[in-house]
Amino acid sequence: MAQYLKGNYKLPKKMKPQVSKMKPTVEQKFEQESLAKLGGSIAFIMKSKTFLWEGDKDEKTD
Amino acid sequence: MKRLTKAQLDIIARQTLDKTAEVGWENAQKNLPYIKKTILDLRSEASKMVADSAIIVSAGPSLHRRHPAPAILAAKFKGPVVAADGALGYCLRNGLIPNYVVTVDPHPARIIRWFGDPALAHREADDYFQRQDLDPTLHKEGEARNQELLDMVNKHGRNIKAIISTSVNPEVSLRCLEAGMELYWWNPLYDDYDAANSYSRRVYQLTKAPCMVTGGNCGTSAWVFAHAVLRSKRTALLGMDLSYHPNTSIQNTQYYKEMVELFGDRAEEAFIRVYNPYIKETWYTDPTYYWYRQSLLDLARQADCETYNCTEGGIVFGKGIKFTILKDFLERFS
Repeated sequence: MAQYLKGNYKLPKKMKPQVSKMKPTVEQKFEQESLAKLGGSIAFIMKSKTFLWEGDKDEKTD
Repeated sequence: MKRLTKAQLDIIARQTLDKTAEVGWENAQKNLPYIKKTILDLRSEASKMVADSAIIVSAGPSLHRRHPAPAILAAKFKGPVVAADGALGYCLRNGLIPNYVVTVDPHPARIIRWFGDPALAHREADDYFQRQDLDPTLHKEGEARNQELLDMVNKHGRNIKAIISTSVNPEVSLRCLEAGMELYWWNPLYDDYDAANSYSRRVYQLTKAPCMVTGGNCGTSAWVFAHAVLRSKRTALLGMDLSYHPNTSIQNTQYYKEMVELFGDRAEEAFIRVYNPYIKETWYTDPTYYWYRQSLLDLARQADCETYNCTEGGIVFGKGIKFTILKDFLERFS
């Protein structure tokens, strides 16, 4: 069976997975690490314009 | 520093989650015995009342510079007044008894100061309040001012509803109860409730209180409360600077110590300057407050209510915000 699943054509050239050449500079890395130490008062996330999440429909209590 | 990119703001958001979610979760477990009512109970009450307009009082430097309480009282504003915990002292000292006070920060010792701290004499030394321009009355005679606040909160507590997050230290919960406040609980929306091991879902299942978006700080939580629970059609912001007055020394900013620790003698370069075209002044802010600002602007754009920034200072302006003076707001909507 395996003989039918083999590729029957050749790629024009070997593709290499793309790797970003944009490495952060030392200054950028320092800045990122610094920002990570300046947390706010309380966590914040917004999802689907939901200002108030009252649980899923099947787990609501009231 | 230049204005922060989305990626940089995300770093601060992640750090804030790391810093507050676990302690908030632990506090929620300790607060469990006190959780009787939630903000959903208020929503059904609020639906029977007319709350076309609400005022949010935050504790930014403009609150003391602009001193808006007399104008609100003179206008006989009929809508709800919602104070962030840091602004409670200002309101009470000036005869403006807020209908609600919002509290959310899980810090173990600082937040209770906004309600008057019965154990202040036994706390470790902390220059947090003296150093900043949050509430200048706390700069001097700390213990005497604390006693004054204890007395005022005890006197008026019965007329103020605490919009209290399960994340707060239980000492804050007990202080509010001691002062006679009714407690209405909520959870911060910490993270994506559909994610594995979500703090939001865990704390919801523990407390059965709804999870509310915070914007990262107490003042913005108060604005969300007015919008999502009181269903206020229009909301005025006071003291919502999210920045420092041009004349404020960087030594008097909230994150000064952290900034110096991180940036050394280049700390001043890490602050962000923002020109406010409405007041024609350049205020400055730190990365965390800039995150708050961007978060509030994002939320205001998505909300189906009108937001009037009557702070008359600061850097909160942009799409979704009507920057105006308090006098105009009161004349139109009192």
